[in-house]
Order: sequence, then structure tokens, then C-alpha cells
Amino acid sequence: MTTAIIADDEDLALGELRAMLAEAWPELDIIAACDNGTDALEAIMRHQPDVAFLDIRMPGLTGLDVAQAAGGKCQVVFTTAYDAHAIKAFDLGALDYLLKPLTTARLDQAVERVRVRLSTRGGTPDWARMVSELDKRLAQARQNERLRWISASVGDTIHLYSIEEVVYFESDLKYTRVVTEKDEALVRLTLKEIQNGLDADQFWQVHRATIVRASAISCARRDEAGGITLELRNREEKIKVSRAYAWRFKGM
Amino acid sequence: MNDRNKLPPIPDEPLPLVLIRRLGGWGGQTLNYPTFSPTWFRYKVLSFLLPMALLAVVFIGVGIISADTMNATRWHLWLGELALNWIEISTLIVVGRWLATYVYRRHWPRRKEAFGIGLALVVGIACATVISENDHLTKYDNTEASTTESGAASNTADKAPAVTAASAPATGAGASSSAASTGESRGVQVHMGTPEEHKPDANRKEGNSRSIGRVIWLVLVIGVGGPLDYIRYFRQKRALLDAALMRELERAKEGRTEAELRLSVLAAQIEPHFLFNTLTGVRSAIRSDPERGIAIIDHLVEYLRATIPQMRNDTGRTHVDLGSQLDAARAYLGVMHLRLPRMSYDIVCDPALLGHPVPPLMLISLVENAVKHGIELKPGPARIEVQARRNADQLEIAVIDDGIGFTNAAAGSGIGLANVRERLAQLYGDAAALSLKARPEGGVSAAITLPYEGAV
Repeated sequence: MTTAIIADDEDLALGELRAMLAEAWPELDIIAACDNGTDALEAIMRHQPDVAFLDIRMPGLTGLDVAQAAGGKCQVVFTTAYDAHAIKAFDLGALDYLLKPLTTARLDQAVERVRVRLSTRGGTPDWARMVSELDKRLAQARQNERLRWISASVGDTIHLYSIEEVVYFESDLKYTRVVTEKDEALVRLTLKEIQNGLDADQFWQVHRATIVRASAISCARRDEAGGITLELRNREEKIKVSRAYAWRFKGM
Repeated sequence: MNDRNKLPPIPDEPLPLVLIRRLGGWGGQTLNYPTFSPTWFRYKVLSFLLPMALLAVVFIGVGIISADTMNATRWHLWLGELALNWIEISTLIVVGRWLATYVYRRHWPRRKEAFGIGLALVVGIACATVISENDHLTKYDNTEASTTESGAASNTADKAPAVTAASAPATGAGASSSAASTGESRGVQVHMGTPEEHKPDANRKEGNSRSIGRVIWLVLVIGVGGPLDYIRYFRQKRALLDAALMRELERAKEGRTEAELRLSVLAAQIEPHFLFNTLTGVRSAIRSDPERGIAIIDHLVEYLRATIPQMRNDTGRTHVDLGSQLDAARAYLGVMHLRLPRMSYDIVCDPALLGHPVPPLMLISLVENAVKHGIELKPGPARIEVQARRNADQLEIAVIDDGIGFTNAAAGSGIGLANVRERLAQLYGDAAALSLKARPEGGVSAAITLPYEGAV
């Protein structure tokens, strides 16, 4: 008999999935229903089900985290309310996804696919790569939207900076120093992560570790050695431009 | 004739602008261009063509008429003076304005341009005056030569070069004395100047006519020499400047209202996640728990009414009462509680504050934010509290959650919080604020403070 675990943090959604699966796949044995990612992973490890239906957005671990950690121990069908556009373009291979609210026709199709894959027992090729690829896509879909604000904790207060306030970003290992005209703070994001959400015309990368808001630059000076340093409006410090990015200031 | 009489009577009100321009001729055309612009100059000169031609005709006529009243030498001199008078006036009309237009085309800064144009006009007037003075001097010399017979006593009074109108030669009928003819030395005077009879008191007479001539020259200078254009130039400059300022102001205002509109529309964007997940819950509840499904739909409808722009009766208003915003928050939290029973909520507000004006959709933004970043991703029970209270002269609206905190959302494209802060700054300046605090026991407290308006 085929076994399954299902996971969703909302009891109504979980109940709906269970009820619809009972109709679409009567002989499926649902051995565990979990309301968070951590429980779901534990259930997969313990019960070794043939298939797992996982909500992507869950407390604890997300559905993607669970799938990655489970490492191809079972077939996976993700359920999600909205991130569909990111998943659609993805060659799903061993994975499938369902949009919530579920429809009977689409669920039938997913069930059919799982059955075929289970019967061929071809295994799940390069599972980890596929999940991480999907994760990246979802992250990208989110980051294609422009950043509008950055928040950083200073003591027990969370400072909220709108992106236009930031004078420059400076990489500091896994953190990024966010510098505004009046103060500065560390955020737990890499420079790369921040850069993806920035408008490249508005924020210029001038060094491997530095991104400056173009409108905050007051002037650029060339020293005897040919290096370029930037002076800022309303900030004392000077910013070095590395050779790789000096082209921006050519013709000055 | 009859047809014309049948035309409706012309009412006593302004003519259409197009008509005025057409009827105005070249003079009217000058009004359509900035004073001292090249096109203006062209039309201005053209508009003087006709009067100057008329003047030439009059001069020639006067010359012909006076031909038989004087001898040939005097007549030639007389003609020469008429021609000079004509040239003086032409100079007066053209030179100053031409120089001013030259200055205008340089596009100098405002003050410099005004000064330059003034100088140009003065130079033009000076040129014309110099010509007119020389005119009199030559005439004067000639007169001396040619009027010796008539007991030249009167001439002696006029040695000064500044003699404006006193020149003598062109006397009328009697030609007996130079003084008698003075009136005619000026072009304009030709029209009015009737030859005066010879009087014994020639000196006084000549002095009089000289000052009359000066007055007339002054009138000419003011009338056609450019001072009036100069005044118009200033008024025009100021009017243009004012208009530009007004336009700027208008644009700024437009930009502001547009920004406001954009912000409120953005603020009203409903999370697709929220909507689809809620519908999933409803779909399930229909089968398993219809009562719960109905409750979800009721709350959802109330929430949508409060947030979808077309359904809100506060669209376009900058302030609504606090009560309506608390209701919207209650509706949203009601939906969330039915979907996630592990989440509980409470809304606390002094009933006296319910009518206090607040900007729409700010509270709901904070609540949505708390649910999305704090509650949804927290395993186990969670709680949200909304508190509105008066704090001396401030109204504080706080959303307090015990969720996973803010740190895992260190940057966002979400418009919620940034939008709230922008709008607060726009509406209240420094008098309002949005503060976010991490609570020691976990979770976040987000609070809006506004000036308390006591009259409510």
C-alpha cells in the first residue's frame, strides 16, 4: 500500500487536502498530518512514506527545507497559494506542485504522475540540486522586486531605513554595513543579496565590498597613482573605487 | 445695405481675441511677442512705417506750399531741415530699439539685461538728440548768413549749442524776422505752427519757442523713443516670472497629490497570499465546518470593504476615524484567527478615542505586517494586541506581537512600513512617527504616534 504524509500549518487546508486525496486516491494511506515543517521532516524520517505533500510556507522549516533535508527519500508534491509563477518555469522532474485552493482535476493529474513515478521506481535523480534550484528561483522571484527598505536592530530598537536614505552599503563578512547620512547599522544580509534588490542606475558598485548611491557622491578625485576616491555629501569618509569599477568615472 | 442693417447689433463687450489681433495690424502684432524680441522689433518698425510715410508726405506738401513764399536759397534750407526732422524721428524710433533687441538676444541675466536695454534706449535717444542739435547748429549758422538783411538782433541770443527749437530760417509769410519762424523748425510743429507775426520783443519770443520745442521733443522722446516699451518690458518680465512661478507651484501640487494617490493605492494592495489561503480555508470549511466557513467569509467581506479602493467610502480622504480602522483590523485578525486558531488577538481602545481622525490603512498595514513576519512563521500559539490610547498630547496606536521578530526580514520590497512612514511624514511632518521595537520577551511592537486632537 502506498503511504503518504501531508503537511500544512492551517488545519482547514490540511483537512481539505486529506479529504480531496481520499477521493482522488482512495487506497493512499495518510500516515501523518503535520502542522509545521519540523514535524513534517521528523515524520518523513520516521515513517519513510512513498510521497509527501508539503506546504511551502510553514513555520519552523519551510516545505523546501523539508524536501532538501529529506534528500530524495520520497516523492514530493508542494502546495502553495501564490509562488506559482516562480515554479511554473521549472522542470519539475521528481517534484510536482499544486496551487491552493486545490482543484480536483489538477490533483488527479498530480496523483497520476506520482503513481507513474512510484511504479517505475527510477529513483530520484539529483534530488538536492533540483530542490536548491527551486529554492533559488523562489528567492529570485522575491528579489526581482526592488528593495524599498532595510531594517536593522540597534539595541532593542529596530531602525527602518528607506532605500533612498542609504548613502552606501559596505560588505562586512556575512553582514552588510548600511550607512545613512546620520547613522549606520549592520544588517544580516550579504552585499550580494542587497544588490539584487537595488536599482543599478541609482546605486553604483564601486568596489567589491562597496555600493554607493550615485546621488550621494559629491566628487571623485584621482590621486597621483591613478586611483580614484569618492567624496560624499554629508559624510566625512572617502570611498575607494577599485580598478574594476573605475570606468564609471572615466572621462572626468 | 439692408443686409448689413439686419446684422445683429454688436454688443458692448470685448471683441474676440483673434479679431483684435487681425485688426490691430503690425502694432497689434507687437503685443504678441516679448518686448524687445527680434520679431517684436520687426513689427514695431513696420507699425511706424505708415505714420512716418504720412509725415514725409506732409513735409513734402509743406515744402511745396512754402515754395513760392520764399526765395530759392531759403527754400532749399527749409527743405533740408524738414528732411532732417524726419530723420531725427526715424532715428528716435529705430536706433534705441534696435540696440535693445541686440541686447535682448544676448540672453543676459535678468538685471544685466534690464540695465543693458535701458542703456540701449538712452543711447538711441541720445543719437536722435545729437542729430537734432546739429541740425539746429547748421541751421543757425546758415540763418546767420542768410538773414543779415533783417537786422539780425534776435540771433545773438542764441549762441548756445543747446538751442533746441530756436532756429530761425524757415519763417512763413513775412520772413521778416528769424524769431517769427521758430515754431516751424520742428517737424511736428509744422502741423500746428502758424507763422507768428513779427514782434519787437524778439528775444523773449525766441526763448519761449525754444522751451516749447523742448517740451515737444520730450513728448516725442517719451512717445516714440522707447520709454513706454521699457515699462512694458518690465511689466512683461514680472508677469512672465509670476506665471512661471505659478506653473512651478502647480506642478509641485500636482506631484504631491499624485504621490498621495499612488501611496494610498499601493497601501490598498491586498496580499494574494492572504486571499488565496483564505479561500482555501473557506473551500475546506464548506465541507467540514460550514459555520466556520460563513464566519470567515463575513470577516473577509468586511476586510475587503475596508481595503479595496473602489469599495472604500474614504477614498481620497486623508483622515478617517480611528473606529473604522480598528474595525478593519478586527476583520482581518478575525479571518486569521479562524484560519490559524493558534493565533489569538485583542483590540483595546478607549471608546472616547473612536472618533479621533487617523490616516486610513496605516493600522491595517501594521497588523498585516505583524501577522506576515511575526505570527505566520512562528510554530505554536501566538498573540497580537492592538492598543490605541492617549498619551498626554499624543495618540498612540500600537500593534504588539509575540512572533518570531523582525530580524529575519532585514530588507523588504514590501510597501507596508515604508509607506506608513512616508505618509506620516507627508501628513504631519515631524509631529508623527512610526517606531519599531523588539520586545525583550520576543516579538515586535510597532507603534504610530500622532498629535492628539482634543476637539474630537
